Amino acid sequence: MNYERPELLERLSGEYVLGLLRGAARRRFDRLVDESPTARTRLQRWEDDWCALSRTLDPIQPSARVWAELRRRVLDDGRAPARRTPRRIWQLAAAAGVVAAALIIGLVIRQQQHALQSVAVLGTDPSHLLWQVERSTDLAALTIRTVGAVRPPPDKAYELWALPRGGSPVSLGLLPTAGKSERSLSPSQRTAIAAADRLAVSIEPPGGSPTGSPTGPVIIVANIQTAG
Amino acid sequence: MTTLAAQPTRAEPDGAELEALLARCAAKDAAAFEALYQCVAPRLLAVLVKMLRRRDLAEDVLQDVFVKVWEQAGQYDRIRGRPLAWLVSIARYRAIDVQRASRPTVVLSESDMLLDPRFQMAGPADSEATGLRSALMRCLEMIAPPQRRCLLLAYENGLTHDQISRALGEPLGTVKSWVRRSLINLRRCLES
Repeated sequence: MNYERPELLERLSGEYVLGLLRGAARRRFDRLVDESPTARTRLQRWEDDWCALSRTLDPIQPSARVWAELRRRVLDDGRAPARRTPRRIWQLAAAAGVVAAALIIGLVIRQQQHALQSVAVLGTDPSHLLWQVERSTDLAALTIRTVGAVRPPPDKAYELWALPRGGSPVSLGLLPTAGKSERSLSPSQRTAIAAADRLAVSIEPPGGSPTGSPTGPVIIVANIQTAG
Repeated sequence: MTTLAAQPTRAEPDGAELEALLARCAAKDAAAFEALYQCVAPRLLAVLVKMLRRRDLAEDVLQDVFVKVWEQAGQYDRIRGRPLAWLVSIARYRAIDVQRASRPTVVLSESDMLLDPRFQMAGPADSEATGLRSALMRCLEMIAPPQRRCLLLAYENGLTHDQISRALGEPLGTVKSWVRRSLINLRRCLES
């Protein structure tokens, strides 16, 4: 095939970008693009043109687990960057975690006479704690107390999620805006908490996420306290 | 415990911002990588969900895409420009690889089969308001609806010639020649 024929090259590069060249034909074109600047230019021009169409789709917020796993795969695998700016929220999260862990240990010791174990204390930072999450020792129920002023955005609610290691977030229900909320846990929620190392809070529509996964911004990620 | 400061919804970054973030990613700057993710992941996920039709699979692919972006940010060609097109292409080609490996049965919803509402906004006022009037959209409108649908089913839904033929109930040869002719006409229009 004479790839240098302009019309053929135009057509093949267009079909490549549309995803219509498959199998051996696609691999042949890959090699051509490596070798021929003309082919590469044509291909990139189609990519640029068609990209306009992707801008017409409504963006979809990924679940919190995607960034969590990505961060683990990319940033924590020994090829970690030499340069990390102090603004990194994950770094702040880790620092805050140390403070909050100390706080939780205190809470756990204080609560040992009760049948409840602390799961986590959730806040946007250690000086703005919002909820205390506890579970019954048999993991049958969850008790959530508001410990700070909770002010959700208008027409929004806060939803609590268990983040099982290597799995998708599992909803633990909406968080109270005042007082205390007790709820029994379903078998799948119990499994999720048992497998989870963190809890997360996202902003959702009033009834909770319509999709079963976090759809709004994740405002809190907290480690689960393992001491019993 | 805690934290993750609230993440405000970000406005779409312009090309220069994306280029700056990619340059910092090439220098293995983790903060830039996170900023890039927050800027473009929702847009790339929309593209992937439309192609793969399964959110969980699309999110797995999204992860792979960003691993690749982290590893290959240094290969982004500043002379070429158009960083979003570069990122979208990485995502689409990865989705095409995944489709090839899994070959799912294609089931098109009714909305996929209807004439795309984006092309039914006739008035220029509408188009200006939605900001959709790119050269591509203008030129796609010049193509007859069945042919245009072939191009969109391929680009947006990731269908092969064969799948398009079955979805539209048109012979495979017809679909192939429609695509060829439409691409040449589209290029002529884009250049004019």
